[in-house]
Amino acid sequence: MSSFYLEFRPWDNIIFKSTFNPQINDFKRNRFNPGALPNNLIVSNGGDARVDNSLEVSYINENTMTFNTDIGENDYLSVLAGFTIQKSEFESSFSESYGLSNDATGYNNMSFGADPSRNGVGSDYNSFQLISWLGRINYSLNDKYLFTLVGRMDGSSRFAPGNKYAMFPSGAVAWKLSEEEFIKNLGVFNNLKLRASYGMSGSQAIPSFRTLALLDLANTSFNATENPGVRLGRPENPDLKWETTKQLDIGLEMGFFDNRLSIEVDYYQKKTKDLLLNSQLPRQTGFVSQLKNIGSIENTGLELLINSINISNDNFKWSTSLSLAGNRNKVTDLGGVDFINLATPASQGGTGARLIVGETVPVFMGVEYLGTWKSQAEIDLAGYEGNHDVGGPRFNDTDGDGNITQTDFEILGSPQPDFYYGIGNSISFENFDLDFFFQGTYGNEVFNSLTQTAYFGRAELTKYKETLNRWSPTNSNSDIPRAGSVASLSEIYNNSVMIEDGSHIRLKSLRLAYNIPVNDLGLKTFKAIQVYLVGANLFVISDFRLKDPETSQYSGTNDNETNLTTGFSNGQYPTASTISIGTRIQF
Amino acid sequence: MKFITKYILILVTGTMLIGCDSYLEEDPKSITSPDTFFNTIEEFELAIVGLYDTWGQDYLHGSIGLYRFTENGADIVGPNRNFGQVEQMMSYSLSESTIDAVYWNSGAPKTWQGLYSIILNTNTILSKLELNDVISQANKDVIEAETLFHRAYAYYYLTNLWGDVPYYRENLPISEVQALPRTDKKTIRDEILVDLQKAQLSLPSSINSDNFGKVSKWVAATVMVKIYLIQNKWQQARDKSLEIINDSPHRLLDEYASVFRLDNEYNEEIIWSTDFGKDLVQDHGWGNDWVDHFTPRIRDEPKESSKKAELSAALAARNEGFTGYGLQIPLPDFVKKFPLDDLRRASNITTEYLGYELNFPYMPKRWNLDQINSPRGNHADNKLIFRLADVYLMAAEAENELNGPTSAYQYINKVRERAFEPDQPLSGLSKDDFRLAMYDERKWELAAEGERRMDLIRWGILLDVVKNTEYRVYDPAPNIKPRHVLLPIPTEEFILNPALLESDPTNNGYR
Repeated sequence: MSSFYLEFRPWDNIIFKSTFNPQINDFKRNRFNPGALPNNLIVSNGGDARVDNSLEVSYINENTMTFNTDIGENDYLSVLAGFTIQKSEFESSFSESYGLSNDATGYNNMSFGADPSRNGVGSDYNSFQLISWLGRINYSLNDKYLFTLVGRMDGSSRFAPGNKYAMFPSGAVAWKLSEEEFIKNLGVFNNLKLRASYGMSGSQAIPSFRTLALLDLANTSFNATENPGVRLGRPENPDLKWETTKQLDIGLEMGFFDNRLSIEVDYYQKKTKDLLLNSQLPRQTGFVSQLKNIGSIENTGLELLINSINISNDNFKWSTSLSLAGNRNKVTDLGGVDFINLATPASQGGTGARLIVGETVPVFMGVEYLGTWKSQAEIDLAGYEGNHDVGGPRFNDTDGDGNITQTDFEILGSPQPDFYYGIGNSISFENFDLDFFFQGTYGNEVFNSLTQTAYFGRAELTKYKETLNRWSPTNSNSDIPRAGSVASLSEIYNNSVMIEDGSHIRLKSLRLAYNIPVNDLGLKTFKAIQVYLVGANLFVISDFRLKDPETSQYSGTNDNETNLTTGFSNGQYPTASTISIGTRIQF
Repeated sequence: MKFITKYILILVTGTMLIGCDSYLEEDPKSITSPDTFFNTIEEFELAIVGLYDTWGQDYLHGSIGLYRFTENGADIVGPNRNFGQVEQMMSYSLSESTIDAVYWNSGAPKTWQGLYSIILNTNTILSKLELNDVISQANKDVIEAETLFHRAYAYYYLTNLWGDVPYYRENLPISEVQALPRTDKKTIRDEILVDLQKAQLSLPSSINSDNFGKVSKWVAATVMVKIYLIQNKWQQARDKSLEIINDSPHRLLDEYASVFRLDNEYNEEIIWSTDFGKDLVQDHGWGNDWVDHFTPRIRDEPKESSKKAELSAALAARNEGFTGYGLQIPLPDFVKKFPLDDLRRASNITTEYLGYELNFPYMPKRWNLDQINSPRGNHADNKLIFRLADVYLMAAEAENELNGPTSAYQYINKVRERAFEPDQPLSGLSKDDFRLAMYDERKWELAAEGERRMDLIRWGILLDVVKNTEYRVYDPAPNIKPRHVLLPIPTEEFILNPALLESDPTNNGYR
């Protein structure tokens, strides 16, 4: 929805402004899987259907007062004070039905569901509120030296009383060197600006109501009849507070040749502490984990941005932008423990991601896959316990105890790229405009949890095409396990086959436009007419088995996930490619 | 003027701040917080039902559950092929690194946590009960009795499996609980005996049919007998078992096989079962697949594999099927030693079905082939926990230890009455011979009912028995060590709470 605002200027240099920004998201999804689908057919389950509804109503209201004044000839002062309130309410419901014998009605009449033990209904409610108080002073001295001081106090409903508010001050200075005579005299720079800032910011990225303990549903049967029951589901933590980041930024902006070439270099260092993480509890508490403020991580990065106007004629213009960014991070503290387990992406596969002190945030964990057993002699020599046979998978028993367990887990990769890059070009030739933008990453890994079943798993599940070349008595050099070598998924811990290179390049956007020469055609009613074709995510080049390495198995909103559990995929739909065609007419 | 403006500003700002505080209050409409719960008797009842649900989960009395540690690694049952969930017990490869395995939703760490979840929940219920001034004292006593039972029963298993364990009886903050070291199992057992006696006093003597699956006072008494036996308190054990035999409404059925009949699951002999129902959405998670572990799977059967289709058709004609896992079946040793003239053999061992010779022996008293009322993964079959025959045999054991066999025969022979036709009562045994006879009697009578491995440990003969038992798939004899009578504490636990290694740096001998 659009936003409204009200502006009031009692005096020339004072502006009161109030913005109101409401938003309504109405979501509905109908799903129907007919009984003819292979996975339904095999167990003669009939079809299944599900209807999801949700409604999110939210608003942001910003109120500011700005005071601008000139102090002396070249000095300038701007003061801003304000507060923002934000509220979001979310309601959802679903119903699902199984054992639909009839494909004709699908999700439109779920009462045909004949499998009451699996039919389900549910609803949820969620809300949060935010309040921010903001004060900002901008001071420009001689138009060369710029100072900014910001103080903000944020309050979040997600924390318990006493911890709701936190203060986040920051300051910035900039020096327009190009305004200095000694730089002007060099005759090299049109623009040269050095800037630095230091400040704090906060994150409250946890689901609502997480400071409170919870009673979970724990129904059970007496005399084969269901009885309602409850059980403590998670511990309270009224001490939860804002996760805070202290960030130092130093940047240099340079412009050459009439600003036809501009270069920006930025260096930053971020130290985040009191991370909002689910940290493991000793199970003697009756719980497994508790959401806590724990530990700290550090991010350091360098970003380079180059903009260049290559050609600029009356009927041919070409400009290029290039960006390159690298971020290095590591866990610096985890509140006394050596690691924290983050996620179990593959069923029964064990911990897939961990935070480990001194390592990248996060690292993928698993056992190293050594290929197939090639002979009985090799199996006997290795001395592994349990049943192993030729052609079956062999994993690295790092602790040498004869069992493949989580103690054999090694660090296998990380979703952190070595660097990110982007290349954009903008060309206009006579009446045509062409813009395209590539972006990508290099050196990151993706955890493909589908591999557990698609590479190792049992026969009835979908397989990768490469398994056609699996081990067999006549193909005994293959390192892909033979058919039927895995009896239970619990034999397949997370392993190195699941870790894939996530490096990729993507055509993020493409825009081709034609400006109809209205004047030449004598269409005097129109000022301009443009027809255009826009494409987004048109293709991605990567070695990843599931095509798009940027999908994510975890939304980051469920209880056991955090925004650190990135880089997992188990076959989510790839980012959609869209093509749109349009025209813009100006009168 | 300036002065007034200043005050107006402070006033306005102040009002906004107060307004903001209420603006930032959460409205947790979709969750139930324990802080606002536990007001009425019904709410306490909901929390107690939750305890039963926990017991029925697949890391306790559901699925294969505690049988991982109480039946596997003994001399009665095991899987027909390698089965990761019991591999460490069956082959005695049990170590600190293998104990950590969590199988989907189960495994030793989950068992440890599930038992402590019961303790956490019972401590919460008890502390809320103390604060409650709405519920009458009489009702409070009943709630307290049932809650005390569940806490004691959780500690009973913790001490059986791990020995000394962290022990708390109050609703303590997490920061305190997570740092607790291990407490001597003797202290824990002494104190839970007091709790159980208190529970026995206020629990009902019999359970009405709506509540079948809940505990009566006789369940508390049975657990007491078991603890007394562990403590070698023979007199208390005998007296308490006689109390059950004489005062409870339970009696032995005339026919052994009837005890396990599915149309009479709450028969008079049953003291306690974990209840399961068919087609229930929320019934102990995956717990009710326990039957499938005992039921054959058609891919293994019959012996003549060319007759597979024929057998399938014959089963289908009876609305039956071999749709189980075949993962808990009699060991070769058990099949060979079970007396052929013992009428209980047919319930415990079969090697053929419908005239087809089978590849493996199975235990019909625990399987269910019925595809209409008990399909795979959706069984209504209860999991038997205690029955009166067990109490009779415990009475015999205690009496023999206390006074020798003279007065002990009556209890063991009562159980043997229905096992032989004509009767084969025991007599003329020395105290030691009686003990040996009782060891076997418990094996035949209570096979695969969750008692055996704890019995062998209690009698101090686990190692001897394992070394002299003929197994299938596994060869534990060279691996078993004295330390294996207890489980190691899962490594994750003492990494998170180093105090667990204070009293015993060897972690029950595993490090």
